[in-house]
Amino acid sequence: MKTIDRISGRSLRKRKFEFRQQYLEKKHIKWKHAEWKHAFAPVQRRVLLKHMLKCLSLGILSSLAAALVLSALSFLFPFEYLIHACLSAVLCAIVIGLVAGWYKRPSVYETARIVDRLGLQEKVLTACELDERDDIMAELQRKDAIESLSALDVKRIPLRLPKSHGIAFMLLLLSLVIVNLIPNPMGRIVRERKALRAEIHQQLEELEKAWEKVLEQESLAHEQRQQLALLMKELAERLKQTGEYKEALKEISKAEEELTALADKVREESIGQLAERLGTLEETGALARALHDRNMADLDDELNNLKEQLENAADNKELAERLKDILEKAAESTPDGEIKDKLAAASGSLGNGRVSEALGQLGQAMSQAVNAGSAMGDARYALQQMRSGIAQAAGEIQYAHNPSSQSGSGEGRGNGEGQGAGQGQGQGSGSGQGAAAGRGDSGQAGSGVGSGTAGEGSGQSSAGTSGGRNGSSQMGDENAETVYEQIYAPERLGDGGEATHVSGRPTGEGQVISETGGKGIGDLSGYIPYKEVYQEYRNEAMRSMDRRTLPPAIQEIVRKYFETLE
Amino acid sequence: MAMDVKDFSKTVARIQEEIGKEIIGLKDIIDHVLTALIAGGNVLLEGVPGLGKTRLVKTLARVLDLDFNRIQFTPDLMPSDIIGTNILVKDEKGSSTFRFQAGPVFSNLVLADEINRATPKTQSALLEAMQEHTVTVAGVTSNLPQPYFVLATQNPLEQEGTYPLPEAQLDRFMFKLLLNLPSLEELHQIVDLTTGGEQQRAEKAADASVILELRQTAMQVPIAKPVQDYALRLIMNTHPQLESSPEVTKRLVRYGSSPRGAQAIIQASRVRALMAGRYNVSFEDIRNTAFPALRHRVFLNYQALSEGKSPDDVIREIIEATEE
Repeated sequence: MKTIDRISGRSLRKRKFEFRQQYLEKKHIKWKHAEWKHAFAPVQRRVLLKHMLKCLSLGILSSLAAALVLSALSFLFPFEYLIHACLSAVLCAIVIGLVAGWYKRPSVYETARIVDRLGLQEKVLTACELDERDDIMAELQRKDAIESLSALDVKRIPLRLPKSHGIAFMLLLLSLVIVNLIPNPMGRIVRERKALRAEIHQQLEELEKAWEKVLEQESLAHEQRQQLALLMKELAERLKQTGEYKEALKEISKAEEELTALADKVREESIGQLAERLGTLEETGALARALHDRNMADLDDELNNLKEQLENAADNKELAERLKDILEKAAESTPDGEIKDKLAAASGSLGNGRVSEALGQLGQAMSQAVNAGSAMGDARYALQQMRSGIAQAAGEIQYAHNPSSQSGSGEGRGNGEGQGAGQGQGQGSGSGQGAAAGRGDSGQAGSGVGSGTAGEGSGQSSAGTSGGRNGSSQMGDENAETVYEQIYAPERLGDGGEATHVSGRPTGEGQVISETGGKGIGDLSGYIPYKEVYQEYRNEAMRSMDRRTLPPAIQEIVRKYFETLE
Repeated sequence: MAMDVKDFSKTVARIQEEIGKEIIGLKDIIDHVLTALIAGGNVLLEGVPGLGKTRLVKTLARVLDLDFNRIQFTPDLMPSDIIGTNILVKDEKGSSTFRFQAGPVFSNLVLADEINRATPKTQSALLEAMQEHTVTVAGVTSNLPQPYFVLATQNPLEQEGTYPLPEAQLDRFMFKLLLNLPSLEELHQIVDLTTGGEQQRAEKAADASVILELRQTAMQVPIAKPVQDYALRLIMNTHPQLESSPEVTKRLVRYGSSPRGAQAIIQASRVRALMAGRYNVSFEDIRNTAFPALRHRVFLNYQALSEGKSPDDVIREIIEATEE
């Protein structure tokens, strides 16, 4: 019995559902009778307008709620684009509200019910249902409904929103204002990120300019240009996505490593071709090994030996002939344009019996082969500049947004002493690579900074030292001097500082000095007020200029730089 | 061709006006009686003696120009006293033959006064007449005149010497109307009207053909499916055994209305719609007719009686629980 009753109940609900569905699903009916269509259309429009306004109101309320939630979450997580997110949420919620409102717009049945509730006592509903009928009673009923609709003031369907919407709107708006008035601890992080991003963007632009100049160098093969361009593109994309300065620095370091690997590869290819050819002759075997080892001193010696052999040996003509063939073939297989020309010229000189000239040209070719990939050095230098710029900007940004958390001024000075071994060999071209470690008497780190001179044929390495901050330093002291700007001191990074490599660009003249120094022993975050280290850096720079061969014009630039910092 | 709604309203208004000349107050009762009459249903009037039940029927018969018979139900009343019987008569030649002597039910308007004073057997004699509008005696079925309308009165059941009407009998009544005591003002008017020298007399306002025409017109009044669905769900909600029924039904109702209840509501609502000047049935019509159409069809259990709930109370709650 109970089962039967339940079935009856279900069938009743199902019937009700099917029955209502027939009406509810019809949003629009193509009316048979035009007079009914014209009478019904105004109230239908009014009901639709009311419905859409309600949906719009709900959309606005939802958007305010979403903005409130986002604002509250911004206290927990740094939202860089909070305003944009809030505005997007508002727009999305409103659009969704309107779209959903249109999709869920009142059906003909619902519209008829709304209008009938205004005292029409189901006249509209019945007329809608009887639209297909043409009998007398249906006509009379339709006429009655049309008369009632004509007499109805559509303004009786109120467009005003429910009071609850107004209350909810005020509450949400008030909450939103209050939440936005409360100081947000994440705001500083967001501002730092934005500033850093702007700095990265600016640095990227400068890097691109520098890189373009590198790409214009004729010594670069087409394939190398492509690889460099790709590297630059990938770096730019990665940097644009990062919001942390440490991540940015890591990306730059990574790009630098890739660049170094590329330069090594280029150099290896250039040397390998020539060394292989020269190794086929007994008389040039030692020269080939020196070239392979990139030992410029041995290269000079072996070139002199070869010169003697060519000038003094009885069968020098035969040797010259064989050497000429080898250089000719090497010129054909060498990818680098300048080396190719030099080798071809050397081959030609040998053919004409100009031994000294030929060996000079060979020496230049070998020197160029050893220094192949120097364009990469320029690119790497640009990267280093960028890294320094970003790091310095990061320090300044942090200080600017949170000055009270900086340490007080340090007192006292430490003496730094650079330790570094350098070696160089002049052969008409120059490259510099230097890093030096310094250690102050306070145990602070020293840094190595290398610089290569461009076009002067000399390499310069300045060993940086850091005098210790062997004075008192008070963290968070209110009376502490806090006007110092922050400076990036890589030796103070947690990973023990970093080595800086700078290559000079070969010009065919001058000296080559190469130095390699260890990393600093830093343990700080890498940012300190620059005045604490300024004097040490200045002294070290001056000493380095005294020790190294550096053109006066460049020395003047360095001096002026430090003067501007005072 | 259907009668225009204005003509319909005018005719009914005239009838109401004429009845109102002799019957003071009881406007709702008159409206419901007219509704049932036009819809083709019978009415059970319940009230204490002296409230004007008989006078109402007499006035109605006069205003509508219909044949009228009154049957006073008593405990010793036999069915044949109502429907008639075959009597032995001698013709001109002197031979005896049976001839059917029609009872008082053979009339357009039958007043079954104090119907619950007769035994159930006698009460049941009216069943065929009320439902089929025919009478069968000795295997011969006779049609009753049209329009046919039974208006029964009964005293409240708790009075002594009454027999409750069986459910089947009750179901034949379209409406059960409750007569309440008149107000003081109405009582003044009644006394003035009946004891004064000058009495207004109701005149004929319609006749049988007009009533039939009104009925035909009412039958054609359209009812929207959602409105009809609402009426039917109302009926379904009176059944306590259905899972979908409201809580009040499950708690207080012993058993609910038969389908005749739905028919009564729909038919009566059509008439009411026309009387209100509409060509369509509204939800309000359904709700208004639900009380007189269901109060004798919804049987309450002991819990309802112990809580002092009347059928109207329960119907009101069922209406409130039924979604339009």
